[in-house]
Amino acid sequence: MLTLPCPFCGPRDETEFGYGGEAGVAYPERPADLDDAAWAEYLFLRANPRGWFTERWVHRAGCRQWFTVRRHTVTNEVVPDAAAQEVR
Amino acid sequence: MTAEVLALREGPLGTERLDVSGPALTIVDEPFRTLVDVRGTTTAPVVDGAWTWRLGPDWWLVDAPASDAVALESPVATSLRSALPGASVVDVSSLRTVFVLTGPDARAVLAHGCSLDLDPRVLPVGACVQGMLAQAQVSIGRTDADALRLHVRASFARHLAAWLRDASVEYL
Amino acid sequence: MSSRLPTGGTRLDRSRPVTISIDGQDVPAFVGDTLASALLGSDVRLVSAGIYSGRPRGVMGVGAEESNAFVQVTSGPGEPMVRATELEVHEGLSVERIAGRGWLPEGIDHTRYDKVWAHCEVLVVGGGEAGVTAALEAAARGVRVVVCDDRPALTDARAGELVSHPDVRVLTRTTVVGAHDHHHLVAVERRTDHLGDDAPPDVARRRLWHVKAAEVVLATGTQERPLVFPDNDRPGVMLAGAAATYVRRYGVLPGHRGVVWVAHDDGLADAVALADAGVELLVVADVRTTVTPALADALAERGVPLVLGAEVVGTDGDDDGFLYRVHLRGPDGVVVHDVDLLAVSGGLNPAVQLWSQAGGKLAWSTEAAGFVPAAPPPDAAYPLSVVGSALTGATGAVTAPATFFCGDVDDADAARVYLDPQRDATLADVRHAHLAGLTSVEHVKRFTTIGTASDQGRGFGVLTVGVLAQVLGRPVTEVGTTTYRPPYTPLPFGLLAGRDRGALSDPVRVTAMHDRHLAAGVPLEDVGQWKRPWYFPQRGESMHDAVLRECRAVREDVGMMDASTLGKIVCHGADVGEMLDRVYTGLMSSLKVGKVRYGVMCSPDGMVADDGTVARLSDDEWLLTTTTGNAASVLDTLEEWQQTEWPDLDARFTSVTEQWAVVALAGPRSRDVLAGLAPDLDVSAEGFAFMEWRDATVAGLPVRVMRISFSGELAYELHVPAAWGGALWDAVASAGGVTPYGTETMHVLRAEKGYPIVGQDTDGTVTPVDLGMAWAISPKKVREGRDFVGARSLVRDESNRPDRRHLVGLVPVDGSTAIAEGSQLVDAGADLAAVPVPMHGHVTSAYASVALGTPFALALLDGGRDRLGEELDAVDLRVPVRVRVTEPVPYDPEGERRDG
Ligand SMILES: [Zn+2]
Repeated sequence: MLTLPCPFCGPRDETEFGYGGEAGVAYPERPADLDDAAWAEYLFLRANPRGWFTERWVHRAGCRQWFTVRRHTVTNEVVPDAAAQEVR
Repeated sequence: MTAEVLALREGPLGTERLDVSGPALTIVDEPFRTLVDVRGTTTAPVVDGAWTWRLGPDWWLVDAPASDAVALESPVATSLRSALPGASVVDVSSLRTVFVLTGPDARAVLAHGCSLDLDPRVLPVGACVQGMLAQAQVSIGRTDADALRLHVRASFARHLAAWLRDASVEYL
Repeated sequence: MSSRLPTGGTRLDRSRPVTISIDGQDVPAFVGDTLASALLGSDVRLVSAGIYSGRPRGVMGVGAEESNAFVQVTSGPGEPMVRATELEVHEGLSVERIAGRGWLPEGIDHTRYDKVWAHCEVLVVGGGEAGVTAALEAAARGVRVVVCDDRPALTDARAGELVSHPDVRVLTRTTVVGAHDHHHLVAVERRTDHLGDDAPPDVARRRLWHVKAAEVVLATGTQERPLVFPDNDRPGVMLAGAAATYVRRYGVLPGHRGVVWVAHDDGLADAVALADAGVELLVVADVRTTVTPALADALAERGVPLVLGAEVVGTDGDDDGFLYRVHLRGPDGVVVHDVDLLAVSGGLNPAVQLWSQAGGKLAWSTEAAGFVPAAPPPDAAYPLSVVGSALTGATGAVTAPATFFCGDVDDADAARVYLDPQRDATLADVRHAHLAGLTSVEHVKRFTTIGTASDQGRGFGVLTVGVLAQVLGRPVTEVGTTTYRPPYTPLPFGLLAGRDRGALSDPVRVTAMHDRHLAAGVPLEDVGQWKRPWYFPQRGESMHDAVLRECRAVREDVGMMDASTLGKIVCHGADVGEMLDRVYTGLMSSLKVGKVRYGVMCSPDGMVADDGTVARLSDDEWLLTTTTGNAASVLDTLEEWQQTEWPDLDARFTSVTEQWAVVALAGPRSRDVLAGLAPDLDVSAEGFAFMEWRDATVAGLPVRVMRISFSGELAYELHVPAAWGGALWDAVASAGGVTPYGTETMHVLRAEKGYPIVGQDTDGTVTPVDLGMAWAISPKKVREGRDFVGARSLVRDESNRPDRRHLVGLVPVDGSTAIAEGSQLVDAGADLAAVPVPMHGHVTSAYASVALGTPFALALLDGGRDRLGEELDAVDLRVPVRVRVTEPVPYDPEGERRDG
């Protein structure tokens, strides 16, 4: 059971959250301009590192805000993603 | 006519009531409260005689006394709608219902099915948290040192009432 | 012969004798005894038997390290594989001996288990001296403290101060079994087990604690480890510290004539205690050649011979296999001693299980002769520390303990050196593993099963590492330990379930009309967590007949249904139209106030995700309906796109599913019924057209009426604030001749029209085009190159292959044989024995139809739209039904009935 830092509600149990996968995978500006391979890459391919990973969560049972954290996939250390917070 | 139509209302528990009472615990339901969701403003909506709970950065739940209007939406929602242009105002009086827990054991009962930290030092009077209680999504607000207001979706109300009755047996 | 001393026993309440039984034999005991101490106190040595060897086994330890003495509790709710050393006795406790495995008690355990969440700044595990000190220090800082200890009570003199502190919660009889991520610790509190029949029925027997701590302090002390030798498993062979503890805690003499064999000073001190208690010690042996002089002097004072550099090389058993002789090899050769007790101690293992579970590293300490905490877990946000000299390895012993595990043993004897008595695994197994080429301790563990029994290696795990090091000829530091994983001690499934059982196991969601359905006694169907009326049988009517009658009523007259479970979402904002254009395949922004439009949502991969209706309530307010099962996920999807991709769009979403109770009124006579209930509403076909909504007063209630049809018939949905849901249901039901119908009839009616159910007729691999719903994709958006979710995927070549599975209709060729949902579609006449049988699709929905006069089905079929008229076999449970492929809209394909 992870404890995740909701930027609004504070640390909460993982069960309150939904997982959003790798962060920073923006919806393409003009999907129609992508060839099939590039579109498939957007749809299906995500990084799966052993180590630090920037990922999205949504506080589904709480404030319903999406946010980004960095999590170490081996140790499950979780820290807020500073860069992502600045963008928001 | 209005009185007759008002009399036809039923709370989510139907003819049942939630009425748990122990030496340091009471749990009751308050059907027919006027509840209004407000989104899109970071300042608290103000309604006379109502609790206003903050559910998100720009999301509020107004918890006001019962309305005696026969209408698709409550007058409180209608007036908030005009008072808060640009905000999203939605009557949720029937969407959710209110259970009120009072007494020193109130927090202990909830701790049987809720991972939220409800310590007054973490959740002071006037504050509200949302999370899971007994597999149902709830919001819990504190109105006094030993008093909590719990909002739950109407469809889960009977489940939660049954769960609360069962969770209370050691406190009666 | 009793081995109970006349006085003593810090845990005993000698004023409260009780009687327990083992295999029907009564055993006297006192409140405060464990089963193990009670049995030892009555000289009952046999407790269990080896799972494969059948060899007799007795009590070896005194706590969680016990790996011999497991019993089946048969009193109360019963429980398999209970450690005798931690089973508190009570009047009427009844157990049976087992041979290595117990059995699940029959019937249902009706005792109460519950769970509690607790939050604290500091969790202290272990309430000994070091733990109490750490807890008091934390409490003095004004933070919340939880202390867990697995004993019945704290014995430290400061316990009272701790227990009475307002910010300290002391949990006794509580074992922390798991240290999970981010300081989520799980503990088991045994609350009434020790009370037997006196346990109050409403008090949860055991409680599972979920403790969320900012900081965790481990004060878990040590666990004694044995030394091993051939025939080390006999009843009468015990741990020396355990033997001394039985004297101190329980006033029980663990034996009368004994030999003690140890490798560290604490073991010698235990020998002194045993001698003082009255055990006749024939000799005390130490593997070391140097020991602390004070301890040697203490033994000498008591007339107990001490032999250094000695080791036990074997034991003999009597006819029952119980210990009666010890072979001890000292500097002067092997001497045989007649005994009933052999107390051994190889050292004290710091109890590092939780440290390891949390991700802390372990290292072998020569000073402590054990694995001690080394590098802490890497996550500095969740501090973990250890206190107590025993756990940190800083024992301060005058003479260092020996790193010694097992003497030289011939291969012939190795199969009688038990390294895991519960698994009957031996030194021979370890040597076998080595010969098989295994060198990693993790591999040897799995090969030999050592450490995999319910004691999880607490008794013999570290010793086995030492033995493996000897076998490999490597230092212990190179071999390392296995990884400790939760739970530290076993916990029953009943406890994991807690009160989430029976009616509370999964929330049941009900609508505002639920009491009406209950009163009508209708069968309910589970739809997700919802309970919905399935059909409304009249007296003596079968489901089949009821559904046909309900269908006929809707097709020919008028019916009503509780449609409240429809997902409903209010969308507010200036840009909602644009937002909806992006998430639905159709064009929504052009919708006028007062109108309703059908919409299909795709995932980015182009597959149908949901369908429903969109009503425009005002310039900036819209109401979406979703399928019952997707109400939450559609809201999630809208919020995700808006928050993460299109934050510039002014749009906000609020679920209003339960705000509105909905009565669906369907059938050619529905207009008349509505007109009667809502005299002020213009219900004419011109005044209230298909796919429009109106606010109206219906039976005196405030209602939003939508002219929507899910049956192909003239139909209305009446949305009322749910507090009036029951009143509206009553009003429509008493309007005269309106037939209530349930979900089954709803399904038949929609399937007759070829309306798919997302999630039943689709499975995440089906595009709108596959469903024959290309019309739901806005040609204007396509023409103008406007993107929407899924658009790019729908133009991939793969999405337009002619052999994709299409939704089609099926009818039985004989016009009468029912088709089963889930049937596989194969070539007509295919040989079902010639596996694999090529399959071309499957049946997604199948019903009997009164309107069509035949059973029919919807199916997904490879290239189905090009196969109309073709015959196939629909096979269910090896039985084929010959079917003909038809259009997926079997009933009223021209849609002439929706206007009544
Ligand atoms: Zn939150």
